[in-house]
Amino acid sequence: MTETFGNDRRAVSATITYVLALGITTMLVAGILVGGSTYVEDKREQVAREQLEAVGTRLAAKVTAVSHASESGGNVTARVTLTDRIVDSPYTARLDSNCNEPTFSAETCLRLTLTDPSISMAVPVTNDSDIRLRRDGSSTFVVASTPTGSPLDGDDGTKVEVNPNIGVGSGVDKAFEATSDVDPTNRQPIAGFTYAPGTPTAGQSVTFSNDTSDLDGSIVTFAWDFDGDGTVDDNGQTVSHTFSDPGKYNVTLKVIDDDGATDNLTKTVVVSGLVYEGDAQTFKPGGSLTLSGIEFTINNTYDGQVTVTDVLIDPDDTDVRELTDEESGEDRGEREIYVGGDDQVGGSDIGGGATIYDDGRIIDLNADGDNWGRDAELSSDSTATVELFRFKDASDGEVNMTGEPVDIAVRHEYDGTSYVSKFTIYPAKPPGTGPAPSMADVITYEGDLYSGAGIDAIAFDIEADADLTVSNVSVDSDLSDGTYSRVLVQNQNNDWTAIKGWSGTYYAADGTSYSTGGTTIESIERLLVVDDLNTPDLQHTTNPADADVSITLGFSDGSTKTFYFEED
Amino acid sequence: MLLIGSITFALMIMGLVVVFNGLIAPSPDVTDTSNDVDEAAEYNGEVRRNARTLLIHTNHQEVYASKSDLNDTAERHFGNYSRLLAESYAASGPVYVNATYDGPVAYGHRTVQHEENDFTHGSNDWSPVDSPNEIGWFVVNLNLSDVSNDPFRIVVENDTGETMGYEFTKNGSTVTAVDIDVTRSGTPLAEATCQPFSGRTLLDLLDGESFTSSCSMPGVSAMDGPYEVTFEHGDRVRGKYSIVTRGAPNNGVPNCASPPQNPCRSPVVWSVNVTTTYESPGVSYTNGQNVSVYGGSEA
Repeated sequence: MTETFGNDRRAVSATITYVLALGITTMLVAGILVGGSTYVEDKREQVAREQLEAVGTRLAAKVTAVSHASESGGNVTARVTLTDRIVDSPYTARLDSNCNEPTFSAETCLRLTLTDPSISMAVPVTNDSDIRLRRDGSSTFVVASTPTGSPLDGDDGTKVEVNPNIGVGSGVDKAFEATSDVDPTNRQPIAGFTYAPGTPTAGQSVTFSNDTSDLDGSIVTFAWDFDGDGTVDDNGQTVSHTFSDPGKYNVTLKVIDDDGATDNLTKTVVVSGLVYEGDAQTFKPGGSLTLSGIEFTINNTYDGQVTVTDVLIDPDDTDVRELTDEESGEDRGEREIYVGGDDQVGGSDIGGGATIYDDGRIIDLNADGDNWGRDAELSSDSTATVELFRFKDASDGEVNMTGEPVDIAVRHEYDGTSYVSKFTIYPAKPPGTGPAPSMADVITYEGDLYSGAGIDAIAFDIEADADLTVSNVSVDSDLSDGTYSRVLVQNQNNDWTAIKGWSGTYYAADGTSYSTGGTTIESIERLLVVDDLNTPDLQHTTNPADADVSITLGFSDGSTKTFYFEED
Repeated sequence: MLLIGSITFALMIMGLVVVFNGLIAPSPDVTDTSNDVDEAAEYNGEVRRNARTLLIHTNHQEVYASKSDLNDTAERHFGNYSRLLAESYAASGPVYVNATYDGPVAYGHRTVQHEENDFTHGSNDWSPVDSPNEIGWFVVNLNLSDVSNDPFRIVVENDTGETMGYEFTKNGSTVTAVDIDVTRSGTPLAEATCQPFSGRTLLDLLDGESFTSSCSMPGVSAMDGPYEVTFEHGDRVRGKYSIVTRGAPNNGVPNCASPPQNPCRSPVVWSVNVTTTYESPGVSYTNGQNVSVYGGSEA
């Protein structure tokens, strides 16, 4: 057998296997490389396009801004620094005023061109001016404008707010408003003043008091003008002025603070011409044993007739609750208030009396309609007496008004204008009644009158604010005669002191005094003064409630206190 | 073979890295100075507004006997303003600004009663603006303690015959407010009661506003110009007034001398040329422009 080396086929299949494997692998790698290369190129172009668009947008924005600034006539040169290359490739940019792009509508556009990859794109530009774009160096673009139109018109439509307080308006201040500016260097003073009395009468001194505030300084000048003529009449924080004639006066206070800022305030002062003469005194109304009436005089200083229409009465003593009528006399017969005007007598006529409230009572003179109610009329320079009758307390007891302050306001009309005269009266005792008792003044009558039908005694409680010595007691009545079996004083310890003993007959109609013998009674609580007033043995059948009785206590200091008990 | 395979895979990875690097590449480096241009334009607007305010104050600050006096004052004021403006901008950044006063383009005329007096001039009824004219300023300063209970009237008529009437009457006997009845071509249009402050009321009749209180009314500008102005019963009111017109009214009022008569006619800057400059690292801006002081036409 013949064997040749070339015919030996061992290991052939392995070689073929290797060759095939190598070839297939080479083809696969080549395919991957070709595919990857294409992918990389696509991505590079995409990135380049995006970056080119970003550069174009920035440049377009700059061109638009320059164009806008140039519209108002400005020469504008703007510089913008961008990247010098895109994907490591140079690019160019230019303005094209003949833009004809299918994707947008604009007359002008910015064209950008990249060489590698070869990309060209357009970005719309808003450009109403003559704009030039050039490249200054590799990365800086210069956008310059040349205004093509005329300079900006004088009126650009912008509203300019200029306050008119310049020129002829300088020095005029503005009233403070919440939204107004505040001068930080000074706050304006706020002028203010008060005056008293609030309703002065002609010839009465009026006190004007400064009430100005200045938040950041002090007032250095006070200038008062009392008659509105623009002339300074007085200076000072508190000044007095007397208006000699009735009427209405504009009083102005002008103040200047330490920074020179000023303010002024004007008030109208109404000066009444119906003047109280200061002569109030009490009197006993007809049939009364008590000084429960008040009379005073008013004087008409107006140039013509005045009509008194209303009277306000406001006693300080809150025990006073009623003003009743005179109950006697002729034109005063039914009146609570009598005003003796010379042209016409007037007064009130309120049936059943006028209740006095806590704040007083305004009584319209002709409001009632009874016979005696009417306004009073006073001619010029005349005087009229005003009489107020029978002040009473809640128990219908008359009140001695001596020394009791009473606020009075007299409303009246002059020349078609309403005025008010307001004053306070302090009624004095009528002449001849002597000075007010000092010790007696500390006594307060507590009421509790023990009298009436079937009771034949008068007893009442009093309280004293100090120790008292009752020296004597006198009893007076309108009875023709009477018998007083006992006159006793009881102190706080219920100790009785007989001023007059249990027996005997005493006639008191003449006001006989009975001595207590100097008995000192401290802090009297109850004073039983008269007992057995109506004793059968004297055939006196009158109940004490049917009589007007006055009981006067005499004290060790010589003062007296009288209590009146009126017939029921 | 293994070596060849490893090299092939390395090349593939490197290629992918290049691709993804490109995908995440940052945007191109840009220094954006767009705001500079807007700031330059805004600066120019600011100068225009302030120039008008400044020149209005200058016009009314004094009673000028000549245009040169007025111009000197205006130039001095504008120079101070420009210097302060430049310092202000320089303090805020690397910006240079400048504003120059290039002189008036046109002068106007101010008929002014600068001292307290009634509103007469030769007669109770007269026309401070006697021919149709553009009005830039119309202010009256009334002393209300001297306003009559009988009406004082200001009648403004335009070139088409339309009128605006302002009738001033004292309000109350002690409260010295002023009632103003406004009519348009004879038809009642509005009523206003203007409270005084310190006895005076200051009215801008062009805009229909009171400076001393919150009252307002239709102003002259509610009607198209140009206007004529007539005072009726000028003896019924006392105070001051100032009317700026573009042209020279032939009202018999003399030009202001030194010392000035009352009333008299003083020049005002009606419009002016101003140049602004704005320089920053990103923008250079210059603008030569005309500014109308009272808002009307420039010449």
